[in-house]
Amino acid sequence: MVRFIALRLAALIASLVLASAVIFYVLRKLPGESAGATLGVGTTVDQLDLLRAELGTDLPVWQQYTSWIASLFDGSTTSFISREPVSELITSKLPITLPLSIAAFVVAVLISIPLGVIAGVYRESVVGVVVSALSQLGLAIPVFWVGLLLVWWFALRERWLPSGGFPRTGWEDPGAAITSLVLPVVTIAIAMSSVMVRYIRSATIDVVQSDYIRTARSLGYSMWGALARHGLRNGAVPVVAILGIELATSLLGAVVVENVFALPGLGTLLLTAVTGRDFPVVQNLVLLLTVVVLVMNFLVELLQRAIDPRLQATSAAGASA
Amino acid sequence: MTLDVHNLTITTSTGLTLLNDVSWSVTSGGRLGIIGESGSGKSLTAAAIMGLLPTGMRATGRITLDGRELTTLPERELRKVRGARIAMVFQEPLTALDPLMTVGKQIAGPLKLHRKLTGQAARTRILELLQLVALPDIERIADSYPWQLSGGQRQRVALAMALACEPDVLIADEPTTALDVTVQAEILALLDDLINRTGTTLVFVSHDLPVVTRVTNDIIVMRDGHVTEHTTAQRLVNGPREPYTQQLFDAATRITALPRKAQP
Repeated sequence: MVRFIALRLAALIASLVLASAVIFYVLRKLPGESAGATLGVGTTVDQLDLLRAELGTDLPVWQQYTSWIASLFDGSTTSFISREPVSELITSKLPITLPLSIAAFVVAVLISIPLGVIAGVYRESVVGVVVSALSQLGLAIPVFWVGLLLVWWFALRERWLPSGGFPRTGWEDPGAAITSLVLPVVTIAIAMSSVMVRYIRSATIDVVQSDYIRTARSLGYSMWGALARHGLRNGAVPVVAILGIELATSLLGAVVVENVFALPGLGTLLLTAVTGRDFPVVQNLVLLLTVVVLVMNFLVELLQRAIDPRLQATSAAGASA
Repeated sequence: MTLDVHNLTITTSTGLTLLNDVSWSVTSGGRLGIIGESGSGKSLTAAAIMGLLPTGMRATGRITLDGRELTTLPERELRKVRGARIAMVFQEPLTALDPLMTVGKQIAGPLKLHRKLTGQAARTRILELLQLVALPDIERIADSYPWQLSGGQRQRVALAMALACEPDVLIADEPTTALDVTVQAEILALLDDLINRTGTTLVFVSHDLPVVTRVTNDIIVMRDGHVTEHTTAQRLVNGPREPYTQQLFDAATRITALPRKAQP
């Protein structure tokens, strides 16, 4: 187990180094340049050179890269535009993005587990077909379009909820903060649960058709009794994998949805930083998302090993070989 | 105890007849073999008795256990029959057992369901059952997962699970087909011995003629959902036979010399 964790940590660090290099390189290859984007039209070459020297973008790329990496360790990365520390920019946006994506994930799980199981168990009857069709529909519709539809109905037509924005005072008025997050949460949850229902449905079908469920039924268990006894754990292995990926995806979904609902969260921060060529902000944000995805994958693997002892047996055999 | 199958017909929702007018009966201590090639309806007969036909299939006719009609029995009542009065062993012991549950816990299932046995009493019975199926090192095996055991050991576990609540009838559906030939012989000898000792009635379903004649007395030959011959193991070995049975017999003897049956 110790060996497994050590190996995974090494792989995690290697992935991060690689990811940081790719992120950095790709951003430098973007058309447009930080100094130019900041100063706008009508600036002189001298002014541009001055700003470049100040930002350090006149240095060779590898030097820029190493100083960025160094700034990651002491938290001294600063925005090109606002000159604020990026860590502060990010933490100031977390109170919006974190509740948004976690709530969306929880809602999506609560919707998709029962729906997916029902769609799997009753796959040949009307209920199962209707649930499958709905999840296909949810997959086919773009997230921002779902958001716009919800705004049109619940904000513009019925006037139950705000169409966007977030209270200036933040969470000081929890009621206002929560109402402004309802539609964004539902929007992300619809998109996520459409994906999750499909995976949970197929995991359920695998379990329902498995021989051990037939054995349990031949011993006197009801279908639901057999599913509870044997299905939950067996079905959990593939489902945990998709839940982990989706939790990480919910952060990415927030990028799009925050824009639709004008929420000043991480997604909005990322978009403004990209348009302003504010490289340090973009780099740190994308790296943060990468860390989240990699850590989620690691946690998923640990969880799967806890559920299925066969995975431990195979990796132990592999390690000793 | 009498298990009576009378005019059993199974049709699909599209109107296809898979099993046509099958009748047989077996009484206490009887050993019935059902033989036929794949698609002959032999496994379907077994599933119909358990009330576990795939969705969309409909059974008509009668299946009675001691005069009690099973085909019209409500699911709740049928569950009290399954595992308690009629139990089943399947072809592939690896997939028939839950890979993520220890063998002991799996055997505990029917004990809790039908006998209300839990805790130490259940544990004692589980070890007793593992002993009954002649497994070594029973304490360790009870705490093992199926994938930690050999194919033969798994099938012994499946037998222990089926016999946990001392059913009147044991239906064995190709129980040795997935096993190595040497292990096959061991499991057949064990089954033979268990049936003798417990007095359980055996319904043995297989495509393998030498295997069926080794453990059963009465034999039903099936083809395309019909019973083509009702004979005994003795007569089947000594002939004469119906044309289709002769074909099966020839196919079997071509592969291997027919072993002698243990009991008359």
